[in-house]
Amino acid sequence: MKKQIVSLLACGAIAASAVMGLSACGGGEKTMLVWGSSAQQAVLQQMCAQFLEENPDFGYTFEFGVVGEDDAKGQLETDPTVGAAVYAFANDQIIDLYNMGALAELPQSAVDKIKADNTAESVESGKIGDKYYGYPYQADNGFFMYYDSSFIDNTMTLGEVLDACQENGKYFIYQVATGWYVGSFMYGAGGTYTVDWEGAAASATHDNFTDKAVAADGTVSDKYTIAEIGGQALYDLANHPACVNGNDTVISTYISGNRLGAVITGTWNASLLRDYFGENYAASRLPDQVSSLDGKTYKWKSFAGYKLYGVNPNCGDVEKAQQLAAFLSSEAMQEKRYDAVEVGPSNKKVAALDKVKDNIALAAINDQFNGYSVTQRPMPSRYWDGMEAFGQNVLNWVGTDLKFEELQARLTTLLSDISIVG
Amino acid sequence: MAKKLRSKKAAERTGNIIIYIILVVISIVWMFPFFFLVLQSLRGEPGLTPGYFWPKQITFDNYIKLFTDTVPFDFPRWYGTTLIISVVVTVIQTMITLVTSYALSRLRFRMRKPLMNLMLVLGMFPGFMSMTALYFLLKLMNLTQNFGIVGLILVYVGSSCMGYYISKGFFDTIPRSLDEAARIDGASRHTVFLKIILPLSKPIIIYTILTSFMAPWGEFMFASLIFSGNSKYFNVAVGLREMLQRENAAKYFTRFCAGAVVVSIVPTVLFFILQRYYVEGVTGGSVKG
Amino acid sequence: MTERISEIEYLKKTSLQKFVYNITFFFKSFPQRFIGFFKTILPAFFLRIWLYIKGVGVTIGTAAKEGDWKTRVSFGVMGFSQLARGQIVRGALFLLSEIAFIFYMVCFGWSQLALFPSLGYKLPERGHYNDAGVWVPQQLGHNSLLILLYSILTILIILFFVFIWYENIKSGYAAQELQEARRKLPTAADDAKDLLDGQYHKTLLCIPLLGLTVFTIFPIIFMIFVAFTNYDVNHQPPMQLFDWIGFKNFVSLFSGNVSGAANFGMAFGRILLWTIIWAFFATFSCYIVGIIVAILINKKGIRFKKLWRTILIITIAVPQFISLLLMSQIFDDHGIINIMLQKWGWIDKSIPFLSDGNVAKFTIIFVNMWVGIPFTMLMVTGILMNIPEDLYESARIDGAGPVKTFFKITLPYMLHVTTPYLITQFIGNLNNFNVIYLLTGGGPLMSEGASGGAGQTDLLITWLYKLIMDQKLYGLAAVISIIMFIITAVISLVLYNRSNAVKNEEDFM
Repeated sequence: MKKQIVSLLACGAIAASAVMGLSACGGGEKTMLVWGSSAQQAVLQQMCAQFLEENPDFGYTFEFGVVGEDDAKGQLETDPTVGAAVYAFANDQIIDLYNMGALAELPQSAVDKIKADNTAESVESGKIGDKYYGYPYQADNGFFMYYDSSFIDNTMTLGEVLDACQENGKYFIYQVATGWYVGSFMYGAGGTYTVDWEGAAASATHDNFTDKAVAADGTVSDKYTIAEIGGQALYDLANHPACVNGNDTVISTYISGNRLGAVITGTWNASLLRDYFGENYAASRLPDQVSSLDGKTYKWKSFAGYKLYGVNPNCGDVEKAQQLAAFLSSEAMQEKRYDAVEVGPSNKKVAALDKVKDNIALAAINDQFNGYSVTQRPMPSRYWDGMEAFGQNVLNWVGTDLKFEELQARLTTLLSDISIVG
Repeated sequence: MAKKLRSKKAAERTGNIIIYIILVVISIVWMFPFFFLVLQSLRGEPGLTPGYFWPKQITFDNYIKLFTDTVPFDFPRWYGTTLIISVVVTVIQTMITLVTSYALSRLRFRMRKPLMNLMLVLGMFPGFMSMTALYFLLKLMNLTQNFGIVGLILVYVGSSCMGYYISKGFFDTIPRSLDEAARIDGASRHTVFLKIILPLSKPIIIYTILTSFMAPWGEFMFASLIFSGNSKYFNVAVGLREMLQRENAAKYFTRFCAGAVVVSIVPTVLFFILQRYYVEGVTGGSVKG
Repeated sequence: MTERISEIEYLKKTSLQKFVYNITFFFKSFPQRFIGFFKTILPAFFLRIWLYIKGVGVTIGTAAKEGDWKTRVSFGVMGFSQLARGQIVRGALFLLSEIAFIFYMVCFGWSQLALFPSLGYKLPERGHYNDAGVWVPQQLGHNSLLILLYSILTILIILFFVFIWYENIKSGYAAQELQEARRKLPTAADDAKDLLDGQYHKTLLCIPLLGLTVFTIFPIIFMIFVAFTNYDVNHQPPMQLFDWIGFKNFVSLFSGNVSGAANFGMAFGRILLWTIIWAFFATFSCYIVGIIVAILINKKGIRFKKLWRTILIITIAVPQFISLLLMSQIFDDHGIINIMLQKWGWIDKSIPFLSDGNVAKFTIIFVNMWVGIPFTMLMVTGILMNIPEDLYESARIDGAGPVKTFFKITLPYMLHVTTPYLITQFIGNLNNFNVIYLLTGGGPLMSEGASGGAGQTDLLITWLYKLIMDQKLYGLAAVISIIMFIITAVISLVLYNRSNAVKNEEDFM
């Protein structure tokens, strides 16, 4: 009996699935899957509803998926022929998405439109070769400094900020051992890192980290390289008693203990920090740092990343999907998005609105992106791994008396880790 | 003599007191994470782990929001999906496991030993790439995305015969003379299985039901692959993990804790009720496997 | 050569000596067993296969030589012999399976199989806008992955069909022989009855084995084939093709020459070592402490037994991914434990429970004990009751304390009875993905860098996951999987087939 039930159930499952499979092909309402991050899910759904109102003969209803901009690649990886028709992605994933065949190029009309409306960097971040593959809608993926304005101001150097924190019994939070943050001092000292792509693998990397460092005033150091200035700065920061290495968890811990003086993070933590700092809430671009090696002042640069809408060329109706993507990244929608979740618009007109300009965090990221950032191009995984391992090593040095030769030796390893000669 | 006896008793009492202390310490260590989980789920202040243990504000908001605030995280729907998957998986998997282990324990056929070795060994193959293979196999049968639940169930029960081990051990402990007596009376093997062995196997049946019911609640790897990011179809594991992603963690941590508590309730209650059988099953099965 | 000592000598030893002897004997004789595996078990296995194939050949030969025309027709038209002799159901089933097979091959199977040698050649065409600004849809080309997958599926189906075909001839010829002997042919009802009795194992096992083949064996075969291709980040379907490259992946693994990961060989060695250390400690820590906890709870005079047990059991009831994610929060550098310790002034600086490679190793083993002890405790509880009370009685008369009794009586007895459990635990821990992945994700990274993303707490299995998901070295990952599989499979087969419990299976019944 048991046996019969088992086989019956199995047959039933197969039959049921077959029937359902058939009904899937048999028409019904046509749906289009749209992906967006959880934070923007509610506003995304509102925007799509508005889109249907404005285009009653669109012919599709929408389904939604919660897939973050940094997760789109992972979701499409196994099978790019399914997945969302329109999805949000972070610009550093563009090479992988392109190679999967998961990005459709934009029609010329759309290219003209986005070029006219958005900042040049955000538009360029969606470019491969001479074609464009994404509709920019957000330009705030970077890091900058939030601080307590009662004892810190935006003219201080990094060292002064740290000392001020220490004097006031507060802490300065930075992610020392996370790939995204580790290279920032090197970029600040004039570093560049670019990658040639062959398919989805880096065929060659070019960096200038062994060149001499460039100070904030434009003078070139005669003694120290970019890597040395950057590495030393990271160590000095990590080694400062007021510095805490930590991620978002740590931020909340220090907030609840009322021990936070300043923190380097991005816009996603804005509301949390606004509530915490209260009337002393302030934000600015990353402070300059005075190198302990040569006493010169250097910039401190963030990565600048953009978020774009992409259209999956494998979806049934590319033209319609393009229409939706264009709508979602339009001026009106960028403003609507700002109103709902306060993210930095890539649209020039929206960015110039008073309410956006008055937003403390967005004003800071805007400053940061103006001359104090490097655009985050697609990076090979060895870059992230190498930088993270180096950061890890810097943390191991904290509290020890680091010899400069030791740092130099480790930097040589780092540079060979993150590069291929080609 | 009496004195010696008394001192022995005293020694025994101190021994017991030490044991009680150890047991209390163990209990604290084991209960602490769950206690912490429940506390966090009742915390009114937002954010990840705060710098203190006792919440400043106790509230049921997180639970209420979990079930009412369904954009972007449609927890009630995920919960229902997982429950359905779990029940179907339990039914099918229990049958397959019992049937397989009965065959391997009681029936003698040519390929029995090699088959047992094969199943033992197959479980050791690291299975990440098999996910890709299974995904496309299911896609061929149109059992991904919208029908992903069916596909997911098939994957979960597909290899359940490999879990024959404990229940075979249990069947081995049932005396063979019982079957033989019935066989002499003319009962077929089928009848023996249904009428004699199964009624004696309540502990192992319940053990198998419990273990197979639990598995789908914690699986997130294949589930996140098969639904192509369409959050409508997620199971709780995928959904709860989504809540802890970087951009969500600060906002949703307390709600994640509430979700975790809700998810844990059903299995925990089942365990409380069926504990005795579980113990009998697992001891019966793992001795002299 | 390791020989067992004589029985008299063995009996002269004390319990502890016996235990030590058994353990040393076990390890000393391992190489011998290992060789024995290759010398006897493996050849025996192949001999069996050979005999089976020979038997098949003989049967077919006889059927072809001795068979009448009906039997011979069923070589081509399956089930004909049975149908012609009145076994309608049986014959019809054979015929149906042939039709289904032909249908499958014509509609699907053959087209896949034809591309198997090349794994496809047609590249896809990217969708684009033409000069007139009109969208030209994306054209998918050959997908090497799907070709490989479906070819393997087809090959499995062909093999299965050949088996059915052989059964068809066997049964057709058997029917002829019965008819010639003027005996009654089994009817469909007889067949059904037989399937519930004499052939009951076939009825019981057909669905479980179908599931096993489709959901476990088939993907494994697929993966083995992938090891011989250049499937990697630059050869990713659907936009690119991949191809056969023979043993190149094996060569590059053993020469340590993996692009972008100069320290690959070092990472592999370190991870392998830690995997073994981990499996050993994870298994025995849970085992021994679990037994002790069970003894404490079951001691006479201890009350609230059920309460203690229930508290431990909650760990089993709560899904592991929840409790482990929770643990990673609790043991975070700024998690609640560090906060409390700092608040009480016991420490100044956070203890890097999970962020320092060496400390993390201890933390992980501890957390694993938290997860694993309840299982052992439950399992052991029943067995403890089975230890003959007089053993303890005589030990007590000899003046042995609780510690001594534990090592003299309890542990040896337990080890004797639960060896198979220990083996499965050990093998399970070698491949314990969840604990590592959810607690540390394998991190922190090895600070040497350039090691394929390898972390200090990575096990081979979690590293494999990274190689696939982050580095996309599919071919290489498949090679590592195969090597891991061969090692664990051989070890466990050797251990398992020699452990007492399995050997005594028949005595026990």
